[in-house]
Amino acid sequence: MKTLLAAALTASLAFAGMAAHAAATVGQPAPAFTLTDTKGTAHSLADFAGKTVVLEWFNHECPFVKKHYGAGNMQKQQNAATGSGVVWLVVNSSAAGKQGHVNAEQANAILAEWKATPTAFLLDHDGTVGRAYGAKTTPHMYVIDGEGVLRYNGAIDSNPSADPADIPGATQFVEAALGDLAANRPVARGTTQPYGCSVKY
Amino acid sequence: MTALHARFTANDDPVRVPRLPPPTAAVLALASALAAGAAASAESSRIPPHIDGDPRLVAALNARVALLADHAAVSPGQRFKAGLRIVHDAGWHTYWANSGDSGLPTRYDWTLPPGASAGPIDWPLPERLLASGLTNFGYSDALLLPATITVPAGAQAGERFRATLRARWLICEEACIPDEATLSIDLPVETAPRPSKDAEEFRAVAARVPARPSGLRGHSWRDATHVATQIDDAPPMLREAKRIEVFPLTPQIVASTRIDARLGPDGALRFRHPASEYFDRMPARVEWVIGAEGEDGRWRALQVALPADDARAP
Repeated sequence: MKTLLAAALTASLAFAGMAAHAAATVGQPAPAFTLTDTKGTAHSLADFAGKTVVLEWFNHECPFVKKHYGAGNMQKQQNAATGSGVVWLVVNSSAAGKQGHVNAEQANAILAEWKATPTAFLLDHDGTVGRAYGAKTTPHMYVIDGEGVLRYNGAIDSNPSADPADIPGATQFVEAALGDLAANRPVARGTTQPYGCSVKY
Repeated sequence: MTALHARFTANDDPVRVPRLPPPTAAVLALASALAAGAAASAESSRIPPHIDGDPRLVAALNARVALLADHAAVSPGQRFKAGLRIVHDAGWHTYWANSGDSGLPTRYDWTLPPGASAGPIDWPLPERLLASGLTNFGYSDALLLPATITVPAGAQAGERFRATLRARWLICEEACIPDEATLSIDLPVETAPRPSKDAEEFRAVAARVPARPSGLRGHSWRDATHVATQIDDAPPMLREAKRIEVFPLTPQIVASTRIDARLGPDGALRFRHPASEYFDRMPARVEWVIGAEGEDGRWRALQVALPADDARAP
């Protein structure tokens, strides 16, 4: 029945043709990148072979980013992850003149002010890496395993809201994915819909 | 910190380092009031004057809001409609039940007299909003978002019926700002209900809230790259439409971009659209909202929950 319906549909529809634009797909190798951090050091994904890597898209002026930093949720997760050997990379893809665009000095001041301790803060001002991953929102989170395979793509947690009061009742998806990887389990929820501000490419 | 501020102010592209928690509501409200004043004159051409000039509207961030009801007096056991009027500043928008690629749906929390109840938001047909390569579902210009309130049967004529709404929404241009308002209506309870002067506005929006016809048959299924849907017998509203626009009410199913729906000679409506980048699995049912522009230029809509399955090869 399904096959028949599919065949009928194929026959009757001129295909829309517009494929979903390529983005990082869970279960596939994560796009390679090299970006310079706010201390002037270049980092490539390949440098972290054997380690789990978290990517966090960031815009310090975005209310959703402020929600998770204001409540200490993001810093707490960064600390726990890096404390157990995970590499946590914050990425800023805001173009010059757009909301949340920061230079290295400004980024470092924000990290200090917000007491955030990621492994590094990467500058992606031309948006190349953001587009390669299909980063849509801030925050938008990715988890890459030690073999360089993408294992999580999506939201920071299960409660799309800008209200810090919603954090305690939410499932923290990145925390859960890191827990699964650490225990050599398949990631139970590998893909969720990210929520937040649009990335300001 | 002083040194840092000094360096920032000397920078060509200064970025304020916000302290956490974010700015107080009072500061934001002031900024908004200033912005609202500047934008008000530019709005008048797009917003009907009786809405634009409504003295009940209060300033919010990049919008003005009021709580309206379709009745001026309510009676025991009666159902009536109440909800937030949002007049967005030019270029700003709020979101539908499924907000699309970014954004957040508006939320209602009602505080009502004992025995009274409130239903969910009646979401009118949204529009696709394109910004920075994303597609969102939401509303601009003037919006009314009704919900059904039920007055307790034990209410007595001569009492007052007071309903308080805490509404929370995200309003975006390119940047987004969360905002909220807590507003009340206080209506007399009378033996017979008495419509308000806003009843016509509620009737107008009700025409754009999707009907839920029973007996529609169809199916949504996943193939290798897309999600396909067939509604076997499209009702007259769809068959006679000048234009059809399909919205996924269930998130994480299809890409938010415009869906190309076709009516077949067999009377079926079909569409096949790229799966969402965040597709995880098919739920038992997928909910669709389908808007149809009639020959009279008016949009109507229906909502259908179709059985769904995942036909991908394992």
